[in-house]
Order: sequence, then structure tokens, then C-alpha cells
Amino acid sequence: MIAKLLLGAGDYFLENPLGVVVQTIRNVGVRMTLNRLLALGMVLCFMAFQPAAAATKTSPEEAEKFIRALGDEAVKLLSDKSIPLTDREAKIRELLRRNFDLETIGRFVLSKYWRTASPDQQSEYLALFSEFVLKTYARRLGGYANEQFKINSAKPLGERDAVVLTEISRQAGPPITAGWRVRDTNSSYRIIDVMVEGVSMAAAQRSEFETIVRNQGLVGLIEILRAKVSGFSARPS
Amino acid sequence: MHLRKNSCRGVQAPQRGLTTGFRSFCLTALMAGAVYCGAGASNALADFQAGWDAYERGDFLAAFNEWQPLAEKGDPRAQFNIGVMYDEGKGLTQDRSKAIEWWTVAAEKGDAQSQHNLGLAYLAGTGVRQNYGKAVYWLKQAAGNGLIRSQYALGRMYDYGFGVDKDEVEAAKWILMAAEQGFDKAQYNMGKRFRDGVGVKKDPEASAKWFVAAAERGNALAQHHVGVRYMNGDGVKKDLVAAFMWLTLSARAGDKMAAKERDDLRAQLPDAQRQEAEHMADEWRPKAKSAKG
Repeated sequence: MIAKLLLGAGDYFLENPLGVVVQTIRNVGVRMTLNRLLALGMVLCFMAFQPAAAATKTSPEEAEKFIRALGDEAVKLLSDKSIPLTDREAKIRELLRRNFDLETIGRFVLSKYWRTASPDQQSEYLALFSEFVLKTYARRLGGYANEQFKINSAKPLGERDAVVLTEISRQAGPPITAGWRVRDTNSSYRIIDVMVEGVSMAAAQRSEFETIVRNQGLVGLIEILRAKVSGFSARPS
Repeated sequence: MHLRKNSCRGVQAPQRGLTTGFRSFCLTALMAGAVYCGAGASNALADFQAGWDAYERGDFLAAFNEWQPLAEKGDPRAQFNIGVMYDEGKGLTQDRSKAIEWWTVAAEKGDAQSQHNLGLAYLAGTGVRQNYGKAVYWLKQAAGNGLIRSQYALGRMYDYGFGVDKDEVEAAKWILMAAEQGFDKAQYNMGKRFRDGVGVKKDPEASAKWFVAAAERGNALAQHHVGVRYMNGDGVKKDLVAAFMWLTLSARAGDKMAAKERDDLRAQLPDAQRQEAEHMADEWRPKAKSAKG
């Protein structure tokens, strides 16, 4: 059941960054309480990113400031309707690129296959994975407006990270709770995972990628990622 | 046509959240239906450009209402765009199978971008059961219609033998075609092919030429590669300033491995040279924008 839930969530991770898991849970007909989901998410998160020895501890207070600044900037960008949609998406993409540690996420998501990939495959995979994440989120978020978000709390997570819990309220539908796992990477703060309703999206994605690589090989996964980022979007003529 | 009926059912008000309560969903669907039926009744309202203007504003319901009647009448641009809206869930409940339906209608009439997106959907198995044979079929159509991205994607299918017999020479033919038209990813790929002799004869000079061409178009992987070549004097004259500049550009474009190489190189460079390289990186502009067609 957990595997099914994760696979479902994985499907949606990059496709529907907000509001997803709620839908997924309904779709697969799994009845789990929010508490159980949160517990599951925390366990997965704890397992997810092994802390490096003598790594910098991330201060929850600083992580909260970082997420607040990022959220304010995103809301400002999204609500400026004087900018055409395609430009708005490009700006959001840039904002996300600066603030997500896509290499850490990408390596984690590929799990054991990262080590067996050739250097060329590693570079190609990371470039495509990053493009995939940025494109999907930017396209999703580009069309949003009037969403408000507030920070509920921030606390340490594992030995090295902090998680900032937020609530995103929307004009329609119930608010979404999202947890942002933040890591102090010496020079700056970066997001390394998003937990929607308590489920680690990186863990969900890893499970999905593992299935693809097992069945179609790493080249199969790379080509699927390439296909997902190479489509044409709406056109003016 | 069944598409029309189904399409009405999936419409939500624009800029709303993804998950709405059932009641508000029905209400918005009814409202959307009313607006759509009004638009459909008058041809004058069905205007492709007006749809595009609305889309760029983020007013997806208005865009849908402009394009839907045109799509029903057989306009491939509108069919393609409505497919995209379903695919991306823009203003509509995301429904990839509907995207496939619309793209198939347009692709069968020869719309190259619909053929391309359809080919990729079959390749990745999004909205449709994964089918490499159909992916190759549609990518060939789009590549034959001159789409550079499709030529490149088709080349990769030959590389791996997905849906066709593996044929690295045929792969190189299609990818070279895209590279010569300025597609940076194809240029980077040709750099690797000439370096390793995959489907072409090994040719270090041609390899360097294609890596540099891709780097000059802003491809971060190629910039990283060219930076390392300058650092080691591999196929080019050793030049640590040029190396630092290319690694800086690649790092700025998000390549973290390039950032690590740049940081290692920083220690070896006197301040003046490092500043020169950083200035060059600041002033750098892509020679030509990569072809996107």
C-alpha cells in the first residue's frame, strides 16, 4: 500500500507540485490519517539524506527567513499579471534554479544507479533532471495567482537540516500544508526536498525512477526525461 | 464530436487551485459550459490571436473559449494549443489522454508540433501507453517536416534502438542535421560522437569544433567540457584564463560540477588573471541563440 501511495505521489511530484498528494490519495483510494502520513514522511525524510560527517547544522531560524524571502518573491512574481505568461514562467524558473539544490536532489533520486552511471550519463542525467524539475514547476506555478502562504513552524530535521512548515491557502479548495527541507550548504541555503501533506516528494520520485531504471535501464530513464522536457508548449501562430 | 463534450466537462475557472470541492467544480464547469456555448454560437468571437492574448495574461478560460470552436472546426494551431492546456493542466483539470486526442487529430493532418509532442508522449508513456514504435513513427513525420528537435530526438531513438534497429550511423545523420541548424544539444552530442567515434569516424578537430559551437550557444554541459579542455590543454592550447571563464559560465548556468572545477582552479590563478576571466564571463553573450524549432 505504501509503495502504491509513493508511486502515485511520485507520478505527481513534478507534475503537480501543489495539491497533489491530496488528489493522489483520493485517486488510489488509500485511507491514511494525516498523522500517519506525516509520520511516514518524516521517516522517509530521515532515511532520505544521510548527513555528511562534520557537516554544518542548518539553523531553523535562518531556514525560516530563507523560505519567507523566497515565498515573498514568488508571490510577488506570480501576482504581476503585466508580465506575459511565458516571461513569468522564465522568471520563476530562474528563482527555483537559484534556490533548489538540484544536484543533491537529482543524485538522491537516482539512488544506487548514480554510482554505476558513466560520467557522461551523470552529467546528462543531472542536466535533464534539473530541466525537468524547473520546467514542470515553472509551468505549473506560472498560471497561479492569489495564493497566500504562511509559515507555521521551523524545526531541525535529521542531524543536518531544518524543515519549514508552511500552509498555502487558495481561493478554491482546502489549504495545502507543505514542508520545505532546507540545508545550509556552506555558502547558501538551498531546498533539498518538499514534503506535501507530510510525504517526501524526493523519496516518492526515487521509488518511481527505480522502477523505470529496473525495467528500461538508465538510458530508458534518460530518454524519458528528455522526452518530458523537449515538448513544444502553446504557440502564438 | 466526443472531444467537445468531454472538453466542456473538464473546464475550471482560471487561476484557481487544482483541487476544488465537488460543488464548486460543478458550478465552474456549468459556467464554463455556458461561456463556451456562447462563444461557440458566434464565429466572430472565435479568434486565434485573442486566444493567445488571453493565454499570455494567464486567462486560460478565455483562451480555451477562443480556441475550442476553432479546434472543432479543424484549426491545427488551436487543436495543438488545447492539447497543451490539457497536458499541462493550464486552467483545465490535467488530462493527458485528452491532450493525446487533440494532438492526434492535428498530427494526422500534418501539424509538425503535434506530431513531435505525440511522438514524445509515446516515448515517455505520458497520457498513453508507452510505445516506442509509435514514438518513432511520429518523430519521423515531424523530423521530415523539418523540426530540429524531432530530428535530434529521432537520432537518439536510433542510438539506443528504441522502436527501430539500433543504427549509430543513422543516428549521427539525424543529429548532425539538427547540429548544423544550430541546436546546441545536438552540437554537444556531435562533439561526443566525433571524440568517441560513435556513428562517425573519430575526429578530434571536429569534436572540438562542435563542443565549442554548443558552448558558444550557452549550453552549460559544453561550457563545462570546453573549460576542462582549456584547463588541461586537451585539443586546444592550455589557457587557464579561458578555462576559468568557461567554467564560470557553466557554473552560473547551474552546472555544479563545473562550479567545483572552477573553485579548484581559483587557487591556481593569480588575482589579476582571475579578475580578467570573471570580466570576460560578465561580458560574454551567446554567439547565437540555440535553434529551438
